[in-house]
Amino acid sequence: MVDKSKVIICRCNDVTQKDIEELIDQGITDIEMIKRLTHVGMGPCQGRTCIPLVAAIIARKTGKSYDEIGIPATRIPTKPVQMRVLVGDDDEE
Amino acid sequence: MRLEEHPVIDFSKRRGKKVTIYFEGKPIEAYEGEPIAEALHAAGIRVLNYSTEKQRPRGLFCAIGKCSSCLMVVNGIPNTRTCITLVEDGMRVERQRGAQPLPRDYKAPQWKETEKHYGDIVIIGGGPAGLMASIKAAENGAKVLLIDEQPILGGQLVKQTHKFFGKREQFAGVRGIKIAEILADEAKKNGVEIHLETSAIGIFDNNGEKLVVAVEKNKKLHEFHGKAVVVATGAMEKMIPFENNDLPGVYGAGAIQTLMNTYGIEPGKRVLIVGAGNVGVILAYQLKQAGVDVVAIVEAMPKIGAYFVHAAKVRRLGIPIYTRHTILRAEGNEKVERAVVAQIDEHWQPIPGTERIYDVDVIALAVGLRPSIELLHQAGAQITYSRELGGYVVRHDERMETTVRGLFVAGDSSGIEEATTAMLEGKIAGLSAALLVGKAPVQVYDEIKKAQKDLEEFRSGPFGKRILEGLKKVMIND
Amino acid sequence: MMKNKVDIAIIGGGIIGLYTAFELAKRGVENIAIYEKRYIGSGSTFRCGTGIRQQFGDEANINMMKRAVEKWTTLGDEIDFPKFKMAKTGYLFLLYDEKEVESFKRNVALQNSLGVPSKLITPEEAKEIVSTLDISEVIAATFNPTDGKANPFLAVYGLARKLRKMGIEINEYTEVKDILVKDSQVEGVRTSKGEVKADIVLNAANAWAKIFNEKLGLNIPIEPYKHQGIVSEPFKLGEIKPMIVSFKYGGAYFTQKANGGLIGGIALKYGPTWDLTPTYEFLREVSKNFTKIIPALKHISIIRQWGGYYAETPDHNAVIGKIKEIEGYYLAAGFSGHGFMLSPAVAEGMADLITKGHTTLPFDFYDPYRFERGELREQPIQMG
Repeated sequence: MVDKSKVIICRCNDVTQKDIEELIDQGITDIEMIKRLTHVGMGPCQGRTCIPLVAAIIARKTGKSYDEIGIPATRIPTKPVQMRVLVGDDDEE
Repeated sequence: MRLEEHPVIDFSKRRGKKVTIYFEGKPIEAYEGEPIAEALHAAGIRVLNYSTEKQRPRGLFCAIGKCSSCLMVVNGIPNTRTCITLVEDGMRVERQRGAQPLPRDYKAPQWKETEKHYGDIVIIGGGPAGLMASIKAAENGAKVLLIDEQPILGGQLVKQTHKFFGKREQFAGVRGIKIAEILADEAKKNGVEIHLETSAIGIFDNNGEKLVVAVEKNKKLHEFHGKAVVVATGAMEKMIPFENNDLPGVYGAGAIQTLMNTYGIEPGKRVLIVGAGNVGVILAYQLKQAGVDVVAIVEAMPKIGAYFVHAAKVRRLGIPIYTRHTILRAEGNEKVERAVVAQIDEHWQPIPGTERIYDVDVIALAVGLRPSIELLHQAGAQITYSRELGGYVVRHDERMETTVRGLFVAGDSSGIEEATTAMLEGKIAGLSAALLVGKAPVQVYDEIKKAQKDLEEFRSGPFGKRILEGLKKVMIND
Repeated sequence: MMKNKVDIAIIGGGIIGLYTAFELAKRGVENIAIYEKRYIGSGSTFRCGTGIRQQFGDEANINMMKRAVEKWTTLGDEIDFPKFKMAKTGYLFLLYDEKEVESFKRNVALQNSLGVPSKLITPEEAKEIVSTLDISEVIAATFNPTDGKANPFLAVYGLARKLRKMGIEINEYTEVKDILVKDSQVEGVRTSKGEVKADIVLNAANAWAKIFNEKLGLNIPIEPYKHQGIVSEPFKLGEIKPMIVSFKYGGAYFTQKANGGLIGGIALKYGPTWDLTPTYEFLREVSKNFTKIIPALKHISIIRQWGGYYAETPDHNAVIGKIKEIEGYYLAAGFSGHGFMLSPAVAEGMADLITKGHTTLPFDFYDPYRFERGELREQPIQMG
């Protein structure tokens, strides 16, 4: 048997397949709520690796279509940026 | 380990000056121009950090600065993406163990105006699609600003050491790596303003015009102003769930190609490949080319996805391909030492008793690509799902314009296909954008039509059928 | 199936609507339904800065917040969700000139007189609380250790879970289109999924509240302004415990979330507008101001920026109460950025108002008719 607590869905926050499936089993099938309760997609990778995996788990377990599941909004900055860079300070340290 | 001999690439010419970096105090030899994580890999270091919540060992995974698996403390600064941060002589690199304290630093940064660049069209991504879009728009009189994250133009073409087939005008018989050079030269000749190692972080509406904000070398903020934007940001590798899928040594296929073909670093000694599509199969013979042992390719589907010619070549090399097989887990102490695979039944469930264990140090994931839509999604373009095109994609019309006026898409970021279709889409997007900003003469309609016909023709083959199915959902019809 | 008749229909599945439903249920009202046009929390609650403070400059808001903090403290146990906890990590206001110090001295005196243990401290004491602060320009600070923050996701989830267990209907992706009124009496609501009869309707739609009011011919000034927030990648927990506020630097406020990321914003606002697109201007300004307060933040990356509404009234205080023109219609909206922190007290007062006709909380202060009478309240201390 597969140990789902060792299947990593979100590397940033160490969220496992077990974590996601437990929420879905409790009736939480909205990707927006799953995201906020587990922090998948809210780490430094900004959901690039994990969100498609979460959508696939929801689709498999609930039968929802991918369009119905949708994906959470993509926000600026689309890559993490240091505040120093945003201030404009490009001096070498 | 570094690759010293390679039948196609001469790394001795490519490598920069030798420098020394310090990993947890220990000196390590590296070359200017290579990222930290890659240099550490060459020195046999696989664990780059321990994760924040569960202290799991993590290593290189995507090698393109996106997955956040390679965060380390560099010169005292935490959360440095070492797979895209280039080595510098004397650099101090430490494994990051969970979240790090703030550096004790009491000097506020100085406010500075950003460097501003003005053009007609801003093109994000210098792969086959973005390069072609740049060339075509510039050829027709548009001032093009092209930005790309990598230090060299060409996108995925740079990693493609094999020859293309198909039509002569579509670069048949030429290696991808060479096509990249040809297109980059053409872009320069046409006066395209090129900004390398520059990552877009957002597309904004600026009183009806477009503003692309980007960061150069993770240090310097730039503004790119134009009237239209073409997003050709390519694709990202998919991940699959299996036990210990985060163990260092589980790499995306692209990361392995980056290590091996871009930096001349041996990815490992023995590799299991997951996925028998074109990427997996081409990777298998590229690994062989570099002298690395490939133990097997496993594929969950009942059929090999790759083109017959590629698959046949791999079989001739003696690499077995097992269809209807999947990976169950990675095993090893802090790094991959074994891979356990099994046969699956028609419900995709592993069949007990069919487990097979391979002693490998690398598990290569070639389980497909998905379009990089982040910037498009952020900019407000409408998204829909198409399995055939790789996942969530943006909707676009036949001139490659999205639901946002002036925002175009081309190449894999509009749906996963081929370099050839990426170039054709790039051509259409570049010409259409040039028309929209009022630079191109109306005659370019004919050229757009010609490219649309070429696309149609290319997709008329058996592999195109799936794509056309996907496009039905994605296309906006006027 | 969604019920077609309820006793109380609540418009808005944010913290105000959910918490009020909980307080009503505790008072024995069973047949309640909540209508939320997207998912619970999606309007303003999930977009908030997470702060909870009693350091206001006026009696009503201090008293309301005192009660709110008492309730925040026990909410986790009350809803059988101990994972939800208010973190009493304090609010630290950094002060840079004599005028600011004078006015905060007055605030502290008022707060102390009402039982809030805030105090004026030296810059060095502030630095003991947050060691990375740049205090070179700071001349004093105020700190209240019983202020703090809470996770709005857990608050909303925990409340919703409890409400569902209590049999209260929460309808997500169900938009209320109209409040149905006949002969000046509320009759129910018309939703995107059908009509529902109800004798009492609570408008807890915050920024969107005015849409319903206008349709009913009520002129209660609430306007949506775009404010924004950012989150950073995580760093070591405990580095920035309190919510730090600096009016000098952009009206900045920020703290560290339980998972280690920074959360906060500045006072740059746009509007009135329904547009919530995050702006480039904010991204740069927030970085400039935050790094003036804690220079070491310059090495930290911002990973997300979003917009949310401050539903603003002319005096930046909420409008809460019974609407006289329409029997059965209640309003709790226009929170001007303070809805999350105030919600437990608002809910308690509103539930009393609906079930008993009065509350001991200072609801007069938030009287919806004060604007009509030309009585503007003193502006509260407001950030963002």
